[in-house]
Amino acid sequence: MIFDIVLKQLGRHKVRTSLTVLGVAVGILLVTALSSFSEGISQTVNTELSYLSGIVTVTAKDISFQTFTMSELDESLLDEIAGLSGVDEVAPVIIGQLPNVGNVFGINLDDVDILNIDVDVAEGRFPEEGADEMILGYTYAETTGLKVGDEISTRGKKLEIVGILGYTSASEDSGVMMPLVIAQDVLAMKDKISIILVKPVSAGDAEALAREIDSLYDVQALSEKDAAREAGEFTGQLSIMTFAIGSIAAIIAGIGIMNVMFMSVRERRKEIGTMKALGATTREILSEVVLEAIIITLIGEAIGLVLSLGAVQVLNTLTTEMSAVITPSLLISVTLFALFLGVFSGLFPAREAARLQPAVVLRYE
Amino acid sequence: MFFDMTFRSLWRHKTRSFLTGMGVVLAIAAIVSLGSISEGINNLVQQQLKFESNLISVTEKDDQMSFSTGMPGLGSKIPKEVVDEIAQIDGVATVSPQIMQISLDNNLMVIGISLDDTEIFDLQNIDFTAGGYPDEGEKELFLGYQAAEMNKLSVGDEVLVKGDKYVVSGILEEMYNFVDYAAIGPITDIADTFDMEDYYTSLSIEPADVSDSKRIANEIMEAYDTLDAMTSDEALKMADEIVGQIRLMTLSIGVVASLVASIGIINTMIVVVLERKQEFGIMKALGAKRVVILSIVIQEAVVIGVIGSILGIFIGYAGTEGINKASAFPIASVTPTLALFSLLYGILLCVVASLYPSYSAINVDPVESMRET
Repeated sequence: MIFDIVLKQLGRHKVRTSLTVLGVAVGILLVTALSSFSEGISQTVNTELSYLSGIVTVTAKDISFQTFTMSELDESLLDEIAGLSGVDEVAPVIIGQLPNVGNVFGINLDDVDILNIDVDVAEGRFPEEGADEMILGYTYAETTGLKVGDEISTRGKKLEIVGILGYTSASEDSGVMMPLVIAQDVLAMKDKISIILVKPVSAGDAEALAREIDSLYDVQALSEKDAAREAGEFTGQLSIMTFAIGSIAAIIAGIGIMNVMFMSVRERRKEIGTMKALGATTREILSEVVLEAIIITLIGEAIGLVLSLGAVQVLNTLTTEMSAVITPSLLISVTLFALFLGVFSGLFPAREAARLQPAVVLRYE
Repeated sequence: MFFDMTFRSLWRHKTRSFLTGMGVVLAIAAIVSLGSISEGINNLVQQQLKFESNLISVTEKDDQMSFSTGMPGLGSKIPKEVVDEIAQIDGVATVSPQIMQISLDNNLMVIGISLDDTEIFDLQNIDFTAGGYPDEGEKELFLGYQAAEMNKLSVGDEVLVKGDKYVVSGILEEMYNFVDYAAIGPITDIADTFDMEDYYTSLSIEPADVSDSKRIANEIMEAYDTLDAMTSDEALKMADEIVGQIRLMTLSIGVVASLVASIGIINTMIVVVLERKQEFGIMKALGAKRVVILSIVIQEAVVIGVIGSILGIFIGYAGTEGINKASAFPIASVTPTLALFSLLYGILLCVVASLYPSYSAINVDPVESMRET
């Protein structure tokens, strides 16, 4: 019954209702579209973390998630760590940037399997150990238009493209991979490496092994759990920031709903008074007004979400470096946020409505 | 007389006026505090370019770190011998190498410079607030104003740079550019600390004649396919482009917020007009011109716009202070232009939003409106 009243009520002021719904839709569109970027970043980060499951990552001290590429270690550390008990395998990795090329990953090719990653070769083959060759990441090949057989010259060296990797959705997609020694040479990192990946004999020992490396050498060793915590901190901050900025418009829309609800309560003073006089409980009046506000927000939210699905498609075709995704968890948080807005903006007008005195309201003509 | 009426009408519906105004306040606050970020970046970049005016800067190509750190050349490695080769190019007066790195111990931006070449930078009016230039080979460095402030360092203090102990020899006056955030030392010491004996990260070139800049830059790029040479004019153009993009991004969020606020204004003004239909009808019957009724409605919107925008600018300013407190580079600044723009934008927004409601007020039929009671 309440539902019928609410719908009739909303239909009574079509312009006002549809403008309010539009406001909510625009607000939800903004917060969803902005948050979809941080979701995209979180997803990439999580994919990369999954490659490292059960592995200890060793970097230079004070390296944080954002400064990963600046890590530098002595290559001699490699043998020392390999000699520790409980270590099954170690793999040196170089991350860097090259003029005319971009992001570079240097790795010994027989070490690739230490990562829990299916590195497919979409085209061509892997570079040969020690050869001036490289394989392109999927997105990298797509954006640059480079093909197998092409050559890039950088820092006095010519590197031949011998293959293109399949899509991994990790950062490898937007860079190139080459043998470790070649990367050391072109990046001018003789006897240096960026990161050491350490695989413990049993995955359960990763935590203890990380602590042991921490205490033995002047480096930073992260177990999978540590890395996830570091990454979680970074992505958490990012999503709070984007949500906070993006929610401004939706909050303004919420204030707009409150305003409209106040106006409609004032217009309907007599009607509400009559309802109360006829036996409607305070609770019924309260829920009628709040429900009206909630319905406006939810319709607005639905329209906003549909619009943002389209917006994310457009944004993704516009930028290649970032990928925006609307994840189920984003949908849930946006819906909860909209519900909160609806309840919040309906509550104060509803309280005013519930407090109306039938006798007072009906006295005036 | 009109204004009396406007205020009375707004006051009569306090809740409504307050909530409508709140929308404007929040939207303008968003524009001001987000806009202050791009304005702050713009200030910094413009001051930096003035500091390097008439110099050609050389880094490696695709140096992606450059704009995330604000400083070009963090990832590049230019072989030492290139300096002498470039010095041979016709029209080149001075080639001054730099090494730029981040000290991860304390997130300090460390720059190694050749102390003999400092006069090529625009340092005329800059002085040390304390101390002076460092001595070479002594592991000494001097700090920009903000770097000293943020790390609470004074002359004589020790500071760790990639594990090496350096002594602060001096602290510069505030320059409002990137130098404020840097720790600067003799290039030989910095090279030693960062293992960069064979490379530089960037070069600053002073041409004998400024009009030769473009030709020299082109010659460098032709000779080295991995190097990027940029004249100060090109740097200015590029900076404008990047600042423009950041400005567009921050502004568009504020504009979307203000669109939603304007929907609130339209809604309120529609109700205002509806409530006062009879009033307008009577006024019209008594001979009020359409423009009078139009201005009554628009005036109400303008008052909301002015008060809302002014409050919004203050709240936005507070937001800017908050952003600066939270960030490592407190550069966000509310410029007079930004404040004025926000005020005018807020007022215009309210006027435009009240156009449709005022249109329906103008078209009130006196007879019709008085008939319905």
